Amino acid sequence: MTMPLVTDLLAITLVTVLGWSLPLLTRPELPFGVRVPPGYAADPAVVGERRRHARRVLGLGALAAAVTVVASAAAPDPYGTPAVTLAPALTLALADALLYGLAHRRIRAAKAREGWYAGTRQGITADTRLRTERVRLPWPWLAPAVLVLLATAAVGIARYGGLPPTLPTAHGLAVDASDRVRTTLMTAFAPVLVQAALTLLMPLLTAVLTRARPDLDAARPAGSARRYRAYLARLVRPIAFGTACANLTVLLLALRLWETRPLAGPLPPGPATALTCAPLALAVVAWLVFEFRVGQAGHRLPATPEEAAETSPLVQREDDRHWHLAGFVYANRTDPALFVHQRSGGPTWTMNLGHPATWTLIAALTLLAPLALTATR
Amino acid sequence: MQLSLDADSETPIYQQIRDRIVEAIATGELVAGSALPSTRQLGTDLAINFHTVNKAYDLLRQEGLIRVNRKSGAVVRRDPRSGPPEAPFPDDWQARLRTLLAEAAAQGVDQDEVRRRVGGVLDTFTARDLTETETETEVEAETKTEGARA
Repeated sequence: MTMPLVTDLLAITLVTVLGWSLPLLTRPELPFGVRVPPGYAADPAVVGERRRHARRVLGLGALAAAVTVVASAAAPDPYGTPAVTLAPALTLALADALLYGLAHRRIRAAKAREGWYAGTRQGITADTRLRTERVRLPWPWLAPAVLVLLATAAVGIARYGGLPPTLPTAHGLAVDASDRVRTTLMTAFAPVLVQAALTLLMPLLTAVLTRARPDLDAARPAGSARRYRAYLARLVRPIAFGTACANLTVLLLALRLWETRPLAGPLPPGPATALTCAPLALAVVAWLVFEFRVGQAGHRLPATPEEAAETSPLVQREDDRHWHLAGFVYANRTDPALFVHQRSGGPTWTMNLGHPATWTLIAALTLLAPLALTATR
Repeated sequence: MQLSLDADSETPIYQQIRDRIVEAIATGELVAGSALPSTRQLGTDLAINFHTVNKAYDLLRQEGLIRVNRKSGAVVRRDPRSGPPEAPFPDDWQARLRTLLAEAAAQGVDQDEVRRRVGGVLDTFTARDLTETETETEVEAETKTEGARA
């Protein structure tokens, strides 16, 4: 079995697992990014669509793997560049996205056809205490990330005097020993700068996102508010752990760029790259554990007996018309919120495309990206 | 406090916000000195324009239930323990109550039924007060017992 084939099969497996698990990560009231009243979360139309989608995604994954193996046997080295190597996985990802969109459309159609919201009173809820008595975020969890940054800086300072005149370059997480750049303070300490940027940006992003609109349910106002507080308090942990893991990956990459043994030398490039990726894989596992134990807005946290018996005359307002591309894109000009909870894809946020600040940011990034690329060349 | 708005109601949103805050003060959920979110924060949380929240806060300020200043934001000014209301309030309130009771009479609701329902609503306002008083009494009793043991 050749290395490109192994890479392809791994990528196909990853895409299939992601495509299969995506509907499981969302809240029961948001199947495939469609808002449904609480009583319809287990409707036969929704359950049937979930099963059909899972079967199709797994079937497509198996088909893609079989085609890749056959193509590899027929033409042992059909791959030219790394971009082409991932072609089967990218095609599969596109097909999975289309299947997700199809399931989204079917549920929306069933909802409209059967009038799931008929006779309900729609509303929205807020908990003022989430603003006046803010959740204290456990910032000490960021200490490991800072320690890894300091350790990298210390190794860099100790190693700087003994560095060769040229250094290998990094292509993603792989190191190309034949493509070399001149050793300067900037090229040598680039990994430390990346770590510093990550260590500063992640808490900043956390602080901004935890102040975004709480994702509460008008059908269970008290229970959803209590769980949201617990969710906010726990959210810092996977973010801080992920930052520490990312910094550790950069440290391992830096040791290879600084040609420090044993990562550069006795260890072959393949295993060295795999070892560099290992902390990031650990971070992904931590996110999945958080997702399946806490869930978006804390919906997987157990409800107290009072919360389980909680009743409200309202159901959460139906706002599908503001969500586009199967519930991945939000655009609402009348909503003052800049960041909103993503409907699909776990505990993530998205920006309101109807907010002027979003377009200002997009314009700024569009202008700055070419400048940054020019500056680094 | 939980602030739920009914999007299908004929009552304007600003009026619903004002009503929910008044109810929270009456039930003791908000007491004198309790802070309220800024108009922008509450507008974002409820996905409404902050001018709508501003209108609700302005009503509450005119009624003397909250005070608003630039430094501390909106803060509850009165609660059931703040003493009797200021002069024009009882007469104004009675005029509104008359209309409300007239609606019940016009619809043919029995007077005993009206009294029963009014009593039920009043009980929800005093329930929290009683619970707090009982809790305070229990805590005081426990403290005294512990003191006596020592």
